[in-house]
Amino acid sequence: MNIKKNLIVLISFPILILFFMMISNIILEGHAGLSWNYFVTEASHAGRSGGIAPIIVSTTIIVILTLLISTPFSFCSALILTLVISKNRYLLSLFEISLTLLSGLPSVVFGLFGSAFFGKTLGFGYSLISGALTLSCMVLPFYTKILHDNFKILPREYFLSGKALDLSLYQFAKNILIPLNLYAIAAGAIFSISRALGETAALIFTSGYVDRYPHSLLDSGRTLSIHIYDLALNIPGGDQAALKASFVFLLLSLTINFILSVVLKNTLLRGLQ
Amino acid sequence: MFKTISYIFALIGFILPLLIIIYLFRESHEAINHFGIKKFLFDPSWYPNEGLVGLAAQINGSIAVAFLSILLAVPSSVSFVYTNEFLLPKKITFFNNLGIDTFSGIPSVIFGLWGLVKVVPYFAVNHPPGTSLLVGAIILGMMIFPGLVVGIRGLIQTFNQHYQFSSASLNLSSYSYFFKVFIPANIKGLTGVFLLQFGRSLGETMAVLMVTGNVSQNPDSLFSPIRTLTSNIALEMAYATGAHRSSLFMSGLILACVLLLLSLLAIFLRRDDHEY
Repeated sequence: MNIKKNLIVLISFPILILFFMMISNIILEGHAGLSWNYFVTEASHAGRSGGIAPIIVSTTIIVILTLLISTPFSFCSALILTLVISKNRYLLSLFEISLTLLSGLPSVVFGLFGSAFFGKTLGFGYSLISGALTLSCMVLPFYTKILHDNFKILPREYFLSGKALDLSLYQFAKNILIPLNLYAIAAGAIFSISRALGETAALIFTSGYVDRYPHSLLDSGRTLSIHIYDLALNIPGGDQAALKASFVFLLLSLTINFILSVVLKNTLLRGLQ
Repeated sequence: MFKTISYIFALIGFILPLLIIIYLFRESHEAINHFGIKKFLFDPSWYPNEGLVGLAAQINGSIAVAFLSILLAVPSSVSFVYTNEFLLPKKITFFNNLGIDTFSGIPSVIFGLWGLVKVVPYFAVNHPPGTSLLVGAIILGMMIFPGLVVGIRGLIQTFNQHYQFSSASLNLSSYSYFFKVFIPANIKGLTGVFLLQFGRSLGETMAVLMVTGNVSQNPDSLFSPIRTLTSNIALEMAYATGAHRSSLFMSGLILACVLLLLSLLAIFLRRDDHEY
């Protein structure tokens, strides 16, 4: 029996070793030549040298826009799901299936949809706003699910008291749901940030890859992930710069995801208090 | 006012999958009219400007790389969950779980870049050019590993406690509990988890694009370069026009339909668990 156990423990190792190799490679080789200047100067020689300041600006704008669009959408969807649709079991499961289907679609399909719908039909073209709208569609199912899961475990008395006091939907949301679910909203928001930062395939067709400062929301701009993709694949001799950018990116995304996993652990518990 | 807006927002969220399919269909209409649906599946190769729009090689490539990645990642994720949940002390389990949650958010470009800079040169020594099906599968396997672990862990946590108590009272070892009780009882749920991650592998674009070489051919060995449906779209969308652009939407439509079917299957598999 012990041999079996040891064998099973051994099988789990190779992938973990690869993980540590990846992290250590990127940290060891990416931090060379990193200085404050890197964050405040523009890229030169197509990104081979110079900094990433315009890219940080575009990334921040896209992330904030995504949050601004996806938060009200997801909150309202979760609210309607909990308060109205949950009375009808059939409709509720239909709605949940639709959300699960949406969450299973690959990012490249969202990219195609975004370029056709937001870019062409709505006329935004290659712009920060059409990128942010596409990303909002991508995070919508996850954000809604996090909120809905937290709303539905609230004690029934809260909803009954709300009914008894004849609170309107708006009053109920503002005075009861939002204060009780701050952790869940934070978790959803951080999840959206993490998704928006990591996304590449959906953004190359929607927000484009221009590496100067964006002048308006209708201007094209590249995010950090597209910068790395472009340096690694399209620009000869861009490997070192790509490693440098991915070092910054890795630290950023590990921090955000660490915060997310801590906050997520708290949401379901906090909701009950 | 607030109520109306909420209803509208919820409705938009509800019809979004339908809207996406309709839009993909609308955009690929031109290609279907121009080439006919038969050509997509039976043409020998992909030269859209000469009217050859066969997707068979890319579909095979996509399926091969996704299947291989599942094959690589499933054994190690199952054994990792077993080790983590039953053999290690609680404190280490806690930190491992935190680590897995953190790693599950690493963006795909970082995996792709690491594969391109480190793994491809390693394979290029014996099997040039190095960019191949196998490297793609390894990178994808690493990417879906945290998702698999989280899925299986979720099944363990929601598994009926009754079974756990019965196993404890029979003095079953953790090995017997996990492999003889938990896995047989959750075989459908596990299949659902694997299917979802298989779908993620199929839909992954950037990491695969960076390490598989992007030659549109049938995968005939582990070391041959391939091109997947997703990377084909990402590579050619930038300059495609007219019927070519429309064919790319067509391949997106095929991809979306396959993934919708996979998700539906996963939902129905997950529905009735623990009927042991």
